[in-house]
Amino acid sequence: MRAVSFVKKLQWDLPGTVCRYGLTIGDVDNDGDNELVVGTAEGELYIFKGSELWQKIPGLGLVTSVAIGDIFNYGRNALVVICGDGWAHIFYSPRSVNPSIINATSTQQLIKETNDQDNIKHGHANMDIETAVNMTSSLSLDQVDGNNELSELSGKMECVHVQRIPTNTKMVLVADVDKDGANEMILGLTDRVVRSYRWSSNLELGRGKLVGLNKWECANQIGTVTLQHMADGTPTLLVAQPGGTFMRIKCNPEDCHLEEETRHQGNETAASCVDYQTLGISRMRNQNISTEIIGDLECIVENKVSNYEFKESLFKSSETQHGKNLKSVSLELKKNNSQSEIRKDSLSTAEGRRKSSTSENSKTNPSRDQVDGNVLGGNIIIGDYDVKSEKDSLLPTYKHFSRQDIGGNSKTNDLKGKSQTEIDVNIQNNLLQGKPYALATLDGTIMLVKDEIILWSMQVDHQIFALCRLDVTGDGSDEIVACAWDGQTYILDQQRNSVRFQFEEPVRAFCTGNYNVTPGFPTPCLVYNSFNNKIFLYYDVTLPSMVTKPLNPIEELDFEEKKILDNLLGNCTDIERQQKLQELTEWLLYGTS
Amino acid sequence: MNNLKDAHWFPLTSQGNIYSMTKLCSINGSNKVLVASLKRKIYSCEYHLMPNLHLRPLVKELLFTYIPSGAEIISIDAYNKSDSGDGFVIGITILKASTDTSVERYLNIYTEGAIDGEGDEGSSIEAIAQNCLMVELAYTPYHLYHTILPQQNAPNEVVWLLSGSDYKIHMIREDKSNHSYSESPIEKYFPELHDIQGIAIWINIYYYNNYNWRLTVIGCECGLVNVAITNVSELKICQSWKLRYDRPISNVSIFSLKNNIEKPRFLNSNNCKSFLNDQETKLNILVVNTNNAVVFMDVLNNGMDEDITLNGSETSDCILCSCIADINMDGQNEILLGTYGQEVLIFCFVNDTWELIIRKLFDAPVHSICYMDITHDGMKELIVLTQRGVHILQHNIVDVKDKWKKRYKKFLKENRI
Repeated sequence: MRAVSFVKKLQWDLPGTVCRYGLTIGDVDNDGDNELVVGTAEGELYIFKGSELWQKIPGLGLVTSVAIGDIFNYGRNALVVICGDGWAHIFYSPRSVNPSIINATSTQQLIKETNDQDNIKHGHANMDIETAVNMTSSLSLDQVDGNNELSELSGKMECVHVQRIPTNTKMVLVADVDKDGANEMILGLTDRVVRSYRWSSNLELGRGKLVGLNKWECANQIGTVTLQHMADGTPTLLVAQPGGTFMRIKCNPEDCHLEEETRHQGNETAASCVDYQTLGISRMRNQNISTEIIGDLECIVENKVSNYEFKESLFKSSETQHGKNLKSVSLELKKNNSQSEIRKDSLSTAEGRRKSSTSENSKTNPSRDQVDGNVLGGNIIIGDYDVKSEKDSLLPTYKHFSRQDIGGNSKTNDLKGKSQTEIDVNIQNNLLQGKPYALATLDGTIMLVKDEIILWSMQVDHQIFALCRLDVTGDGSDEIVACAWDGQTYILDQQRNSVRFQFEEPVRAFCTGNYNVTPGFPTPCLVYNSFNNKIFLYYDVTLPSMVTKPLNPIEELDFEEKKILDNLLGNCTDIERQQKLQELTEWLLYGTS
Repeated sequence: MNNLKDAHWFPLTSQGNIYSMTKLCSINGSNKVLVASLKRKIYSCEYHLMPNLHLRPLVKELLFTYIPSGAEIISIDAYNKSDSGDGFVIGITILKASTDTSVERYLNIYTEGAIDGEGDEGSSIEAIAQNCLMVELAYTPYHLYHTILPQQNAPNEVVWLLSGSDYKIHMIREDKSNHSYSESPIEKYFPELHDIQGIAIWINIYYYNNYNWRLTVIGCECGLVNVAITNVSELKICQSWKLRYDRPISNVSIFSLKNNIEKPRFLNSNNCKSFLNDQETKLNILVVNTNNAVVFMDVLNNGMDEDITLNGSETSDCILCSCIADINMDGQNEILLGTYGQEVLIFCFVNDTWELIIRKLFDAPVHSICYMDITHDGMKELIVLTQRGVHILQHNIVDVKDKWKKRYKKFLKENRI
């Protein structure tokens, strides 16, 4: 296997233990540059910016997981810090998105002494009033921040919210899981529970808080929770389960209702939103081995589906009128196209799928489990899914926000609009097929899966504990980065080309992301936390291509030039021709100028 | 260069030194790199072309016989004694502390046995590794070097030159009748290498004018640099210089600015033979002491008078190695220096001076650099041996393809094809 050595690195001392999900890269202070956030089990939070430690926040408790995301649905990032002992902290940078506003008003530094909490309260109150009256919002959120928190020119993070949550949280995810345009906070707990929360800043509830939405119990220990969009654009949560399996949760009530209608069975609301995927050969795997999963891998290289088939699939889909059916049809198509690629093991599954999908087309009502050829089903999972009406009554803010967007907060509007178009594009792209997702187990199996078919799997002899995404080739499609306890790091593209990188020490925690060492230029980075209380950040981790190829200049010549070259080389065997070409290349490159 | 990208990297179990890397060049154009590490492990690295036109690196450990456990490898060198096929000769110097006081030192020479017929190429290197001739040394070996010993009416012979801790350079020559190697008196063949009064860290010998003349440079630990121009047929030293630096000389190199690459024979339709004109060749000498590097331009005409210090070479810790290569493919050689400060510095000759154009950082101190075609496609790769491993860097294919195409078109135009 090809191996590389990355040399550009930054190194910081970091006393304390970092949990597996205790570090992340993201734009924590909304300045356009990405920072590295690390929380330790000793309760300290470190934020690195550029080549420096930018901020250190002590006294948080046992930090198990950090996430950067728009938890408030402001269109701006906040930092969510989850402690295993049952606390959720939210940090927010008062920095203005547009620094000129601060500069213009920076003379009024009189309100310096104002209490942080009051500031925030005031800020939120403003927000709420603003949204409640549904103004066209001449006073933007940025200006509110600018006016109230002038002292914070540096934009350092401030704790804006602390809340008690159940203990034993292992990881946190901030994402829109129910397709309503607002972000939820998803917690994965070590006691086999997945919970979802949403920020609510209702005036009646005071300053606003995280409101619990759902709780799902899994059959087994949770590996990772990741977001995955299905073929029809429905967001789902994939919860990794031991033995290279996972549970899929659909959080959007409408989707579930739709399914229920088609099935004419309304009694099992929760179970219908949850299904359990064993991915074909799982019985051959160790059922106790921990699993990592990563969803929504960007994939630029589309499977080449011919126009004819494309039309056919569209035609079929219009016939069946169901997103779900569309998916299975496209799956069938895919299977036909790339049968050779599919591993033998998954063929039987695929066969089963074809049968079931045809049976589905003929209007029988198989359960999802049967579709996937697995008998293990959602019935194991006990879930208490909120009904739609309850959600609406609990969360008025989201709607207000969306209206406010129309109103004219340009920044938020832009962001939302952008993400909306992105989603639209995604949906269009995904009309045919879902995005691939990857699984890795501790015993060293890495799999790329698309629509529940294993595209490929690979076995390595290192214990993989972390699975991340990173675009190292810069071609827009995500590479899979798998890190083992001993520091061996595998970078795989979606065509199964692999590159190895050996980090010299055992690794305690690992993450990837685009970090800004110099402002304005984010580069792909690998971040390692060693057992010697150090953080290593390898930046500019780029490879022009995943495979090395020889120089083959002939392929770019036009016909005439090729003919001349053939004449020059004369009649000879392939080996002679190769040698002559080598000679010619050497002469052209080094003998002439 | 900036367009050099990591193609492969492999680690060494123990570190090597400045003598630890050598290349094996086959006549058919497939090249390998041999890397030795201090603690007995020797790796070969080559590239295989896969059916899908991807290159696959192949690194394997070669098991050389007669390297006892506990021995340490000091230097490795190899040459191809055959003009038509693969007749590799690999020399490895080892050092073994046998008791507390005494140390055994050997030069192991691995070569294909005289009786052996043509083996298939894949296994031949393993076969060579099993066929060892030992020369016991009475001194600690340093640089193992090979050069041509021109002969009046016989094919040129290749001999080993080995510098030792006894302030001498030893010539070790094959004794065909006895099927062994033995030391020959050096003053009979290389008078300029006799009596150097220092431990030679690096030796470089350059033959010119159809093997009638040679230029020899020796860099010593004590800072002494010996330069000599010798008439080969008369074995007479015509001119010699002695320079003294106050630092050890880590590397010396003789090079010309232009590379003489013969035009491929199948391109010469009009039979005008492109000949190498040695008279016009201007030879320069690069002298690298651990602090900075100095180039003496056109030594044959100017002597050691016209020296240019490489500005910036002093900025990156101790310089350990050098490499002369046309790394930007402009027809003119650049100087690459590898430093203990984990950098490779590249100097380009512009406006009659050497300018630092690129610094490239590596993961560990750079011990050795080599620019060769390991991928078998005519384009050379940069191979860098560091304290921790071996880096193979490949030029950006797209850029080189453009260059290739442009020059090919120019060639077609010039020849009105």
